[in-house]
Amino acid sequence: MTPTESGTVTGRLVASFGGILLGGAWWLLDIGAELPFELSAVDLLLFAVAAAAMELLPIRLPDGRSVPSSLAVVGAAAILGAAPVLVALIAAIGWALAQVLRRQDAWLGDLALRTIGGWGLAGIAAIGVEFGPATWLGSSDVGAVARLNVGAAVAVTAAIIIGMPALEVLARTRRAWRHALLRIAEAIRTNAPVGASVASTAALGALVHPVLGAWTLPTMLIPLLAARVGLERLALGQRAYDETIRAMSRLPEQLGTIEHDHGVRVGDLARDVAMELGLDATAVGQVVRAAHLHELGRIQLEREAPAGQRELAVAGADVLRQVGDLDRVAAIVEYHGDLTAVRHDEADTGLSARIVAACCTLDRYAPDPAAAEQRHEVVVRLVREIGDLDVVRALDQVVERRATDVLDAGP
Amino acid sequence: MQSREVWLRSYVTVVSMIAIGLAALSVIDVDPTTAIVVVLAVLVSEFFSSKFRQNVSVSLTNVVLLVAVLLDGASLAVVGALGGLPVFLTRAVDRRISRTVFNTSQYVICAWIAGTAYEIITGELPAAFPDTSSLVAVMGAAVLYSVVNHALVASVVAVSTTDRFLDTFRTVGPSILMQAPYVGIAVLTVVVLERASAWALVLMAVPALVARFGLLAFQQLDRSYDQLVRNLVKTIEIKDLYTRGHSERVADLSVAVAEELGVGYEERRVARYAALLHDVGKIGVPLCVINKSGPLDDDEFEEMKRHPTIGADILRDIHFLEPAIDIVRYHHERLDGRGYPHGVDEHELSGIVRIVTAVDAFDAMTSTRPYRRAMPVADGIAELRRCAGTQFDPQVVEALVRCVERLDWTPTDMTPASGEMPPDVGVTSAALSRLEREDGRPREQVQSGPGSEGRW
Repeated sequence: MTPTESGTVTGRLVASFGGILLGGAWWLLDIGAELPFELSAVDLLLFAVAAAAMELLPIRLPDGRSVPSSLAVVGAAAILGAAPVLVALIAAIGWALAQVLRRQDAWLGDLALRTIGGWGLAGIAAIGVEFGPATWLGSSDVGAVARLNVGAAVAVTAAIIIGMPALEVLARTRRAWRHALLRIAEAIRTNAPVGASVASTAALGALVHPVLGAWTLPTMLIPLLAARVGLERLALGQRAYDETIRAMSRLPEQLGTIEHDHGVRVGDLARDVAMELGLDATAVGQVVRAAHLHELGRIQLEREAPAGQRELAVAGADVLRQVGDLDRVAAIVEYHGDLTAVRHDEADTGLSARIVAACCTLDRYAPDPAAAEQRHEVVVRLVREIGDLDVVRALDQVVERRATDVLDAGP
Repeated sequence: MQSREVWLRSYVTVVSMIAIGLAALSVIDVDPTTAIVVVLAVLVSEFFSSKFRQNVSVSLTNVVLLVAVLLDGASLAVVGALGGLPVFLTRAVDRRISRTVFNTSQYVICAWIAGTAYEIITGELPAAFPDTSSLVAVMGAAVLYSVVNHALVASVVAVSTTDRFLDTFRTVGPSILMQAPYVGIAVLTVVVLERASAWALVLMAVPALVARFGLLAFQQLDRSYDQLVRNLVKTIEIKDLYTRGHSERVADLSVAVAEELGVGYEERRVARYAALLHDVGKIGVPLCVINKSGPLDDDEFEEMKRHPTIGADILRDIHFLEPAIDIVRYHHERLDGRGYPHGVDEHELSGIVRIVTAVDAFDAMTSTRPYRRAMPVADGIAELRRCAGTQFDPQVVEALVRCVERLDWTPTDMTPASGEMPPDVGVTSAALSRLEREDGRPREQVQSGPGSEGRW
């Protein structure tokens, strides 16, 4: 088992036990009496099919992660007061159907998580009914009443917007626990628009189900699908931008003076170091871009004659300032060539520049993480040249971890 | 020309008179408070319409008018449609009053027809909202709304321009499909308003606002991306004395030809970026080869032949370019398989690659090179036609000729400053056949095709 798997398993176990315990609340709190909603076989089938359809249409976030929009269907069933067994069944059937349609296998672990997730969501709705405001939204002079238990809706909303991103971060985190709270806050902030859309769709579905019956699912999901279209375009645009920056890192390599994929490797290393140091997501993104593009100056200078590190960094920064919207990245690139030039009021940019400079040096002189002696020499050199022990220590820890991963993975 | 103007004014007058009549009959029939709310809703929806892509905006006006139909029939929808007037007035491209009057009038007529259709259908069916028959009725009303909207816009375009009615009306198909989500949102809105509380509309507004945020953020990002790629290409071209502006011209003209040939929007968009980046691999070719004004020797030519492969390698991780990466890899290939560097034939060359190949060669011919001045456009066209079938796709060549004539394309006759000029200038046929060197010239503005918005 690799450390990555171990980290994921720990998170999954926490999520699983939590979900199972939460689901038990439905019976303990006797929610059935509050929300007398019994799913018929047809309802169950419709909810499961809708969950499957939405599983196939996850909402991708600009940072590359995706949120299952099927949560809206499962959440609606939970808010309506369906028993945990039925909510779990909807989640499980929906997910399994989607997997069959996607022709993907090896999914028992994920199936269990979805099932427990549905079970837990029903329990969370029960807790909301019990401890939340006893408010029913809905009235009608003309027919069936649209009814929504506000307590259940609020609880499910909180679970989707706050609980799920937090659990996801905990499941992913391996050793950098000291920054876990920062990562959780970032995940909640990034997820908030999607989470709010999914949760409000779930609440909307629960509200109109008494009136619309079978028509609930096809209608309630339309606004969510519209949100998906908008966010999907944004995520694709962000991905194209990042990939183009990554491709730009290969331009100077064509001149033959630096190694193949040096920019890409420095970018990956810089990302891990920046995260190890607890930089926020925006700063991490800028460090990665600067790391990818730190050699770009060569396309300006080296086509004519080799140039010094400082000149290259300044030329690279000039190119970046010309291409637009990359001023901060340009500043990082410029400073990485001359760390003494960093102004006092640009401490953050200076830190980013030191990360890029350190990662660049390490990739040049000790590219193999398993070569401990070579790495030690570079670390000593970095302490002298970079003068920032935090950055050098973080880099050393990241590379040490990579070396362990390589050894654990075996030949 | 004058008779077209007369016809247009007459047509707009007739449409607006009908709309005024319908509005006058409807105003006396509605509750003033509800009417004001619907008018404001239309106003807000039009004001906050979001650009979805080139020439296509998305607004919720259809939904508001359908809600009005469901709440109180045709009259409320007709009055509500007047809410678009202030927005049309301030946003009309040319601020022409006739355009504003027409767009408001056609909204009124569409709303009346949709509302009346709903009343007729539900009158004959045992409909009690929201049962199945009432949903069928509202779907029918929405489809009718869309058809009438497109028919009115197509007719005014036909009267005011040389475009045929059917060319514009053809976009009605996708628009009808789009009515299903509008109907769904309208039904939800009415259920929430009638059976719950207006406050519960917040639940619908959240995903709608997120969708709008996503589209707006994407537009901003798209502009940044466009700037990034164009400036990147300029940076690479800056030391290539004869190709400055070439990539951008090839990209623009390729998009125009693709549009002429009916290539879809997304494919055109991806192809534009691939065309912009088609020569990015020249970064791996030594400057002395790039800027050499005399004939290339065999080694130099081998160096030059690598640039499509280098370019494709540089761009290999950009996923959205994948469908068009062959533009970079194959832009020097020929239909008869005698191109370079891969020597693939017509079976490997997709339509979009053929377009960029022909445009790239045409721009090269009509631009000044180290060894000759720019060819006149007529000569370039003649050369393309001579090579059609062996080097270039004949259909593409004819589409390119039409675009060149429409855009009034002129040769690029801009030589580098004397200080930049390499010393060994010489003209040889070998160099002519081997190199396609270009330089910069002012960019042509490519006109876009008609959009699919239901407005004139």
